[in-house]
Parts: sequence; structure tokens; C-alpha cells
Amino acid sequence: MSGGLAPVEVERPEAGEVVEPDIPWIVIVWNDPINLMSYVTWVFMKLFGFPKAKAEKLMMDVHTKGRAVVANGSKEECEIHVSALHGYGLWATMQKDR
Amino acid sequence: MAPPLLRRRRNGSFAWNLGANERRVLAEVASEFRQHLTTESPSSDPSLQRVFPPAHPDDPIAELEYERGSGGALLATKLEQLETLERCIQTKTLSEEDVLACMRAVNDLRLVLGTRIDITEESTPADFVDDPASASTFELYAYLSWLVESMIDALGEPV
Repeated sequence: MSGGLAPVEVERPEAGEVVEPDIPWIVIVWNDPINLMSYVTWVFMKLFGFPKAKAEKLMMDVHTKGRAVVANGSKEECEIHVSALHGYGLWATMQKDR
Repeated sequence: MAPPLLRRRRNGSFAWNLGANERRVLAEVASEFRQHLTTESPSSDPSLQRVFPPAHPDDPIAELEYERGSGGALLATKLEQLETLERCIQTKTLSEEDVLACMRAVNDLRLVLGTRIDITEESTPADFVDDPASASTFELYAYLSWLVESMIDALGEPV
């Protein structure tokens, strides 16, 4: 094997330095007996830009399974989604995606 | 045939045809809700819990942080959209933004009324015949549901 390439120096974390993995967050919308199915679908399209078919599928998941994950991302991103959903009166919560 | 309750015009504005009685009923329920929002809180009135749900129900510390960070923004939003509804009740032309705010405000009214009479997905008028107060709340709730449907129809798919 012809040489020529210098050995690559690999940076290793110092011993004892724990790198906390960036755990993403998820936004959950819960079923409730008040919000209309057409309204929930419309809100999903409006806030997340989902096509109608995807918004309807998520709405049906909420309706039949009791909940659906509608978004994920950093804590800050998820907080923005949750407060937007609360502005529309949807029952939304967020948690770490463990 | 009566004109539709809400119709998008070619210029993008909306024609809004509320009857005198509808205006009266909406003004009354909106003003009652304003009173509620300004004097009660979710801890003092369970019917407000659905309007202000926690973001972190299982983590009180995260919830405190979230509430501190948002600084009452949700209450301000709710009051603002209610104000838009109260203004729009008296007009015949709405902007798209008006319709959005009104729809959110009317939906908040449904959340409060529906929670108050313990509505379920299967509720029918027959469930409330024995209690005139709940029966009339249910009637109002059903009217507001129809109003939200009409607004979604008039708005069409969001772009």
C-alpha cells in the first residue's frame, strides 16, 4: 500500500467529560370531546403547513388513539408550537422524546 | 334562500351576515367570557382549565418555567381575539385576520361552555332535558359549533 497520508488525529473527549446527547422534544395533541374534527384538521394545516391528507390522518390518530405526535425539535421550537396550538384551543403538551 | 353566514368576496374580504338575534347572543356570551377571563383563573374555575392547558402536565418545575417564559402571553392573546370578536359582531365586512381571530374566540367559548356541561362526543340534546340551564347552554354550544364550521368553510384550506 502506497503511503503518503499522514495519520489522522482523532480528537477524543477528555476523560470524565460527559457529552449529554441533545435529546429532542415532541409535541403531543390529545383528544378532547369539544374541538371539531374539521377544526383540528384545519389548525394542523395552518400551523404546520401539512397537506390535507396528512393533517386528516393526524387528526384521526388524535381522535381514535387519544393522542398524536404532531411535531418535534428543540425545546424552544416545541414551546413555540405548543403555545400556537393553545392559541387555537387545542390540548397540546410537550415532553422529551426518550 | 338566505345568504350564507360568512362568504369570501373576490377582493379577499368576507361578507358576514349575522342576524340581530345572533349579534345579541354573541355579544352577551362574549362579554360574560371577558368577565370570566379577567376575574377567574384556571385554578379557581375548572371551566378555564381547557382554555389554558399546561404544556408540561407531568413536570411542575418545567411548567413553572414555561409559564414564566410566556409571561401571560396566552391570556393576552385570548383577550385580544375576544375583543376582535366583540368588534366584529357589529360589522358586516371582515378581513381574513378578523375571521381567524373570531374563529379562535368562538372556539374558546365552546371550550368553556362544553366543559361546564361536561360534554362528551356522544352528547345529544336529550341528555339535558331535565336541566333547563344545561339545555340552553347546550343549544348555545351547538350554535357556536355551527359558527366555527361556517368559518372553516368560508376560509377554505389554509395557504
